[in-house]
Amino acid sequence: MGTEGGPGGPVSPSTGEPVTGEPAEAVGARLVSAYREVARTMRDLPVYNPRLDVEAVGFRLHDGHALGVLVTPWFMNIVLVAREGGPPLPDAALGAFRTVDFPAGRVSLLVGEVFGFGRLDTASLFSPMAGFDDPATARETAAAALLALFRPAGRGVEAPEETRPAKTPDRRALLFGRGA
Amino acid sequence: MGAPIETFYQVIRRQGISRRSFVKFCSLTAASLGLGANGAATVANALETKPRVPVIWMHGLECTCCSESFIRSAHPLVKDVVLSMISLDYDDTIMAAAGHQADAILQETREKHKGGYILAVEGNPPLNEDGMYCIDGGRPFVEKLKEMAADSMAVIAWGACASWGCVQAAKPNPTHAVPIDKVIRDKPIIKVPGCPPIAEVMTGVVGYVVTFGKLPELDRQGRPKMFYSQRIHDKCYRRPHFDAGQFVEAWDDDGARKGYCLYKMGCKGPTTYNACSTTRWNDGVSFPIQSGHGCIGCSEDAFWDKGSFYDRLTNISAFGVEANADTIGIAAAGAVAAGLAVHAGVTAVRRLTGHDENTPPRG
Repeated sequence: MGTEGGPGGPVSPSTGEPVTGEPAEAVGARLVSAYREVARTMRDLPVYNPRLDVEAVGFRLHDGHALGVLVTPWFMNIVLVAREGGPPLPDAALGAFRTVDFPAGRVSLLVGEVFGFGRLDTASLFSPMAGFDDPATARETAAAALLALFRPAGRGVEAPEETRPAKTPDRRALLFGRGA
Repeated sequence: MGAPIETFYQVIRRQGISRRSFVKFCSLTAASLGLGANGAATVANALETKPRVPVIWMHGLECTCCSESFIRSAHPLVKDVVLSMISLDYDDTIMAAAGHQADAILQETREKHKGGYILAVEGNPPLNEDGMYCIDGGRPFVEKLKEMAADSMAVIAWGACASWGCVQAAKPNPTHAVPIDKVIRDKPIIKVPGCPPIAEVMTGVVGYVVTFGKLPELDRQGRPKMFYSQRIHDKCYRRPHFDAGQFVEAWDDDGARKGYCLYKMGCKGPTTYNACSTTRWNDGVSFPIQSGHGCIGCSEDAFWDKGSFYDRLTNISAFGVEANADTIGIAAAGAVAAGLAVHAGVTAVRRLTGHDENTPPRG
């Protein structure tokens, strides 16, 4: 999965400012290698889903930080981290919660760290991951979560119609004459 | 109703609570209910103008830990205000009346406020031997419970006992103790599980009902969404250690001293919905995991029958727990079908931002 909506290029998609420092994708790659190490110690636990892999999905710039979804065989989290050469994250104690505003609403992020990487602020999407049968579905779910995070609250938070089961009537579509 | 109209505000003023304290109570209640900027004014206005909602508090088979929790509500004012309201009517543990006089209050409330009072139930009724295992005032508790429920507006099931059955309903359940929704079938029941529930959650639920005169929004299990939609595992301050594979392997090992994740020691956080990891206990001082012990899942159905508190969770239907099985039937399928991935992701974010319209089912 690429970095749709947020290239780690020279211009920040959120502020329009020129960007220097480590690209967001590179941060995602560093996280993946840190959690691949952790995965070796998690392999024998019942919460580990061996069908999945550690993957970084959709890492992009957000206020100078790197934001994306980290998928592992035991959790899927939204992750917000500092980039090398980029601005630091606001001071916060390990284990503390801090809130960050996204277009979809205010999200409470938990301040943590992982060996081989350092600090990362996370919000849990799923854990454990027993419900995911294959990496592609996990990636698709992660990408959809990121898109939803950047869609304004009250608008477009509904799942796209084509993904809804046909038998679920969509009142919004009915009222506004969309769909059938 | 025939009863003189008296507002909640008049009652607490009569009890000697100052206007200043009342206003503070309103803002505390509004905050605990997650109401917005105008919340305190809304609460104050409701309590000043609407007739007081009488509360009857009955006790079946229980240990009184719910009452113990409730009267230790962190903010003394909340406790004073709510208790001054409740003790006016009936709570056999803390009211002054006793014996026939106490029983008379039950009947009086039932007649004067028919269809207008809240019945709060702590504990549950045993059904074996025609209910003889719990006698209250010379009669089986189950009879009095049904009688009082029949004329109530709504019922609050305090704690794991009233909500799910708890220890007295654990196998082999010799008295055939049952949760109250097995005997009260025609009234809305708010389940406030926990052993005991968190004091602030209890006062929050009572505060909501007396303020707005209606039930808070409930999930499919009958629990108020505002307090039971978060899973311990998702809001646990030790969660980064779980993610990073750092676990306590034995009591008092190095990991325990460093505050690592307690999953391997049997923590039930991944299958438990409660506000402990955010609201915490004793005025927000701590909660079990913060004190170094795993969550025992006391707010979940049949937590006594799910093996030892120290058994490691092995079967966590992750998707059934976190996503929205109501809409997409994932729990039935047991997995995210390819076409539902987008919906699952969107639903997960909606939960994070508090725009969750469909509370996750229990795992």
